[in-house]
Amino acid sequence: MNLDVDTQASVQTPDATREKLSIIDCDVHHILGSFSDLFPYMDESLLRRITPAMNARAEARNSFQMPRRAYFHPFSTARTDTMDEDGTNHAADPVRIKEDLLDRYDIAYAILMGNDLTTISGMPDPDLAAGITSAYNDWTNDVWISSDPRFKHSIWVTPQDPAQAVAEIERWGPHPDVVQVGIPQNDMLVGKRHFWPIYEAAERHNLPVAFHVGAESAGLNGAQIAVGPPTYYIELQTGVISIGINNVISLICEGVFERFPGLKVVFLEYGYTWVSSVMWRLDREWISLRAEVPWVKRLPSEYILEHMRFGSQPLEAPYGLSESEKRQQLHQSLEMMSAERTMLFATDYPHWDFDDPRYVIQRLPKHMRRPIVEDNARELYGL
Amino acid sequence: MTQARHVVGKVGDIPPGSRKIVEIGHRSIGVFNVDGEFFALLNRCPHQGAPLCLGAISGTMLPAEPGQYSYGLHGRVLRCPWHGWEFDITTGEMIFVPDPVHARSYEVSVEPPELETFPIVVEDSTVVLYI
Repeated sequence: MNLDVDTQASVQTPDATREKLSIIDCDVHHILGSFSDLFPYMDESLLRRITPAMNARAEARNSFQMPRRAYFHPFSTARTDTMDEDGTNHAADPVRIKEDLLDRYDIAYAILMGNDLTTISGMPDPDLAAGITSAYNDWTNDVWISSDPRFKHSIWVTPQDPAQAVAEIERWGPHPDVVQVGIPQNDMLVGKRHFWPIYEAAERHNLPVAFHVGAESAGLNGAQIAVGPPTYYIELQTGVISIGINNVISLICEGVFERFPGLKVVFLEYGYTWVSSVMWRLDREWISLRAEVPWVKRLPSEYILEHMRFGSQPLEAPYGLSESEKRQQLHQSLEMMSAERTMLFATDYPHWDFDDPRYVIQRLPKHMRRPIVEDNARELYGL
Repeated sequence: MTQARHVVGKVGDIPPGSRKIVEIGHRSIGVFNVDGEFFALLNRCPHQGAPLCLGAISGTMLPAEPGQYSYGLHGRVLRCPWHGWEFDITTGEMIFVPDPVHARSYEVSVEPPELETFPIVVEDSTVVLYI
């Protein structure tokens, strides 16, 4: 939905813009066709908890459903050109996602983030949440990962019960196509010790941990926006950056990277122009307040550069300026956060705020293209 | 560059753990007694110019594992009254912070009593500052 799309850029040939880069798309959402697709992967007791509640005909509001966000998107969170008339999304079909995305843009690897578990952290029952999540990981592996070597698996675990999250990581950790652990957030800053067993397991299996927007305001979760919940979707969509900011600060100040020096953390869709702001401010505060958190032994910005990665999508760039000013300011913000080390390219297919690789890559500074589009993800995921 | 000799006072005037601020020319300088040894720092924080030497003298938390605190360096740490930057009084360097800034320090020595200054009763040695 960019208002000033550079049409010239999007008609350039892929070769001219990609400079023979192997694109690694770090945020692709495959979608369940139907929740019942998970049933074959559930044990009987879980099925017997869920299915009667799904079939309750009396009151829909009291029947089983995945936690829903309190805010509705004013038109569609899926790109409308990825939807058939009956509402089926192309991203529910491995064949069509390959045509639509992998083949069209010559994408070397797609990290599959799923589309259906982002709100499950808002579910009150930890066992139900963990059971559904395990079934989803099995379904993703069977239907998607096995279908094409370009698909890589970011498994999900739930934060409600860290012990079950650890068990799920142990189950998947040795799998060669599993490259990441996604944690849908709840109302707890992610540096808290509650999460540490999960980080320990992820580090043990050399898997980065990813946080992706989407759990805000879902189920029991608050909207997590500073100074209270906003009124409109646009406010939520923009204000999620504050969650990214607070979680980055939390991870550093709680000493997570001193305790788990091998851990890497990925933030997807939380923005990135604030990263340099946090680095500068947190360094400043730490120089004065270091003794309060004596386990923070290095400049906070050093932990960010070494341990954290940020998705490029949605590309944050200025509007309402001349082309040269836009380019200059975008490049400056990328320099300030050392994007050649910290940024991962992502499209967010099939979502409405999808970034076209051709549009993004030709806007990046030349010396950052390969690191952002390819090298950083290769190193992070061992691809 | 030759250094001028400035008498700061008697050792007994600046007991361990205390400081004396002296004005020398246009400069304000803090002279500190750390466990019987004397050190001098310019009374101006290299950060934003605060009167550094008026800050609290204490220790600080040593680098530790998450959730653990270990207090140490008691008496060696000078905390700037403005932003709380912590300096090692004995070196002028910031404590546990990798930063090129450090407080300006000066040579201090304790010399034998000067007969011409204190000709009658010699009770104490003299703290002398070289700038």
